[in-house]
Amino acid sequence: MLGVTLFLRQTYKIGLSIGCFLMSQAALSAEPILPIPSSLPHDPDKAALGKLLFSDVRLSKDNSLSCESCHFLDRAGVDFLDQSRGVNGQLNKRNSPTVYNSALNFRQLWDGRIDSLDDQVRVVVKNPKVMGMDSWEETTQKLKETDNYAEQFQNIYGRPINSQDIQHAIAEYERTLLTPNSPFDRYLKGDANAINQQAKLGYQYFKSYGCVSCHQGANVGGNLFQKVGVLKDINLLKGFGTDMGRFAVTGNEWDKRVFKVPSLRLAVLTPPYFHNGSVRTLREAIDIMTEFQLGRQVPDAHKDAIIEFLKTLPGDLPKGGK
Amino acid sequence: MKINVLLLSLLLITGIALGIFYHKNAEDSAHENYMVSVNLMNQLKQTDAGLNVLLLKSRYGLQADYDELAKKSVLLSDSFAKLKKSNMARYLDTDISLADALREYEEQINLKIDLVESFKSHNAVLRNSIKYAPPLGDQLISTLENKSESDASLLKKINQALYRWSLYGDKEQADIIQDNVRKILDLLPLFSNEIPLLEYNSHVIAVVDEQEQTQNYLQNALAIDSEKTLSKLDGLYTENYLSSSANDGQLRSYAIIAYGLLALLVAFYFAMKLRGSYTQLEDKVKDRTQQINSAYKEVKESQEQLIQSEKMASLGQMVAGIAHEINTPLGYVNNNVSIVNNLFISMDTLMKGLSRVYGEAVKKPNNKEALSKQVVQVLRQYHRMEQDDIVNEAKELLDDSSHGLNDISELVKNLRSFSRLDRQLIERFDICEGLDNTLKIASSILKQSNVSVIKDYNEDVFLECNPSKLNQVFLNIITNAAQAIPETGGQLTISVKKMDDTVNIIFIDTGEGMDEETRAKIFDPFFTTKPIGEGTGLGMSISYKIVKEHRGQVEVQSEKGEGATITLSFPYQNVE
Ligand code: HEC
Ligand code: HEC
Repeated sequence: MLGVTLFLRQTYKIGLSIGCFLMSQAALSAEPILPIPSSLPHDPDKAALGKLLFSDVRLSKDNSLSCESCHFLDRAGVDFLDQSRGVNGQLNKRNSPTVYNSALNFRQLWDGRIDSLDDQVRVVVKNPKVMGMDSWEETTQKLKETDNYAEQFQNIYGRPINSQDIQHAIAEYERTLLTPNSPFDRYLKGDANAINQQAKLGYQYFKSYGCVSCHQGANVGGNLFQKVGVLKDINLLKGFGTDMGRFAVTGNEWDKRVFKVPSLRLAVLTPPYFHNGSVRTLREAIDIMTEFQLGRQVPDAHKDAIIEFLKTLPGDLPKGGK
Repeated sequence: MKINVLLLSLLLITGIALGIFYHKNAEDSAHENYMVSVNLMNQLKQTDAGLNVLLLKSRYGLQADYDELAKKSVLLSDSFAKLKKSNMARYLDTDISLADALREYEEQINLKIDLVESFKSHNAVLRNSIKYAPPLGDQLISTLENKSESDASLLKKINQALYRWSLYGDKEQADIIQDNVRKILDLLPLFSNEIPLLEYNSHVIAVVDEQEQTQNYLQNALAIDSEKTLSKLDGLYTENYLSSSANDGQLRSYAIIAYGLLALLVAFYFAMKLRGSYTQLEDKVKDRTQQINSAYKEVKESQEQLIQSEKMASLGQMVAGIAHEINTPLGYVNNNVSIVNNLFISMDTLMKGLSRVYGEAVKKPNNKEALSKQVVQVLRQYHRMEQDDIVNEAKELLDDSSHGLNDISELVKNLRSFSRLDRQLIERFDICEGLDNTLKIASSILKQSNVSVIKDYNEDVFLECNPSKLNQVFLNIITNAAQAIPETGGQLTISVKKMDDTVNIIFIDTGEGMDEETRAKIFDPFFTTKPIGEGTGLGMSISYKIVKEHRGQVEVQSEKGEGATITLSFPYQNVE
């Protein structure tokens, strides 16, 4: 009699866990990655003005750099250096992230210390290691004197040129820098042939190994903070550097080595990798991810499939961008 | 004579200018500014509530991406920044308690946003480890089982606790894991490949740490009563607004007095006439100020209702998702109880055996042989039960069940932040009075499109219902009607009719009417004909729900260009 109840109970438990598992899977059946919207709300005139400014070297102290010097628009929005070089060749401590889809990120910069694209412009122009302007008065004055910016700002913003509108115009332009319509997005929207078998397999691995816990949403990242080394101490990795990331912003002990989870949308196009550009190849980046973020071993074949999946993520670069 | 005409026309022009100035500027823009802040506060309230729902969804794996959650956080701080700069700023210097409430609210939402960020980070790690560790543990157990039973049992204990914990998250299982986790690495020598055990170790540790953190951040975020602070803020702000608009009213009367004096100076006999109209004007001004004040209070109340309803809609969605979380332990408890029930059947057999022995002993105390046979039989039965460990088995099952029940109450606790839904009071409601009140609230919009209202009701008709909800339905219908009527004017007829078994409330407007397509969609959520940003598109769908809750019907008759007739009917048994 008891044997039977025990057996029943055991089967029941197994059934229960399977049931729960299925239910949790069903609940999760909503895809963790979403298509990139074809556009975000913006004013085309203001964006066009911002496009001019984005490539204008007068935004830097010695007229040597524009935004585009570190965010090549025709090449995925990065500079391919380990760490970027600002005015007078000064070395920055971080790798330049892409400006494409940055409007989809919940905060800006590797440590998320900036909330909005407008604010990012405000700060970067005055950053002595990047564009090095002394003040926004200086910047506004410089732009006022040249070309017909003053007139254009008057026409488009309906008031004299000023720092706030300059920042807004560039940010408005950045809101047009999206990469919609990728093969993977088409696949998500129902076109089963948009990506190959290997990439589909890669997506399954990307989900089942748990990359999607951090890299999810429309930007496949860019919407939360995460510690590097959640399952294995990152100090064991040589060359990871001493950048404490978000800790410098908040001062919270836990925030040491915490960074904004980067978007993987254009990852295949934007080496080198990580906040300090210390990692050359996607493959190495994934090795580090599986070891330190997932705490588990992943066979090479699966990593190859994941790379195949990542290749389907970039969409069209905006026409104006090329 | 000429001068007279000149002065009179000057007076007339000043008067008209003054009138227009005060009517348009002072009142309307003050309204608008006031409404901007109020709308921002409503938006904050909604965003905050939506954030809570998303937090719970993410916690229970019903939301696979953080985009929505991230957007809500951004929206929360953006709306707050706007609120700070809105009309409210005018009063911050003079009203310290308003400034305090604003600061308190700012601190609360900043804290909440931080907690949400931490929650997201920890939740992400937790979900991975809790998915990965238990099956890995099963593998390890099966490799150990052939080698060493006792060591396998350690892993079994941990893994079982892990399974249960991942399902129900009760403290006791956490303690079991905590007590044993340090022993995992002692098993290393038993494995030729150490890696899986090392992985298992770090994931079990991750589960223990992250589960606690995730839960803490979640509870702390949900526990922040920002809604209460916001209501306080809202109240204080409205008080300020009302007293300042009273000042405006005063100013207006001063202007009129000045105007009157001016007129007095121009001509005495004009002054005599003007005097009469002046007092009349002042009365009107007072009257209107009062009307507006009370209308504002009521508008705000009805807005709160709206938010409540929208919150309920999202709650409904969430509850559906969470139902299975409750169902799981419930199923488990149910099953355990029926097994225990079966165990009691063998207890019963034993008791029957004992009572037979007793009966035998009383009847034939001397028949030792038969007696001892019976005793042996009972003892054997007892022995079998002891071997099967039935008592312990039952105890364990009951323990399990009480865990299951605990888990359910934990879940219910999580839901408690939404539990103010219990406050749905049913009252005896005078329909005509409700209509009158609603018309008062809607008076400004009715006036705006020059709607003349014909009230075709006078009898007392009562309904057992939730008055504020029904008023909300009336308001939605009347607002829609007013908006459908062009600015050149029109009519809205409202009648209340007692039918055989229903009470019908009929709204007939002479507005632009609806085509068939609009008519078909009018009750769909988020359907709106208004420009983006003006309507939520929820009004009619909420109304529909409310009417259905009261077992009523809505009927819409309309053609394009022919006005619309909306009939609400409520069953008679609701009616006294
Ligand atoms: C000297 C090279 C350089 C220049 C010039 C430069 N950037 Fe950057 N940009 C960077 C680096 C490096 C970072 C990352 C910094 C960090 O995270 O601390 C960055 C980050 C950003 C980001 C954040 C992206 C994200 O995903 O977090 C945006 C947006 C951006 N830059 C826009 C601009 C704009 C607009 C300009 C011109 C006004 C500009 N940058 C000029 C190097 C540069
Ligand atoms: C626990 C969160 C987490 C998980 C899980 C995770 N990542 Fe990451 N990922 C990060 C963070 C944080 C960084 C940034 C690290 C840095 O810059 O130091 C990152 C960076 C990357 C980068 C480099 C991107 C760039 O532009 O520099 C790649 C590629 C990547 N992850 C892929 C993956 C893959 C593939 C997986 C699954 C095998 C994965 N990640 C799992 C958090 C995570």
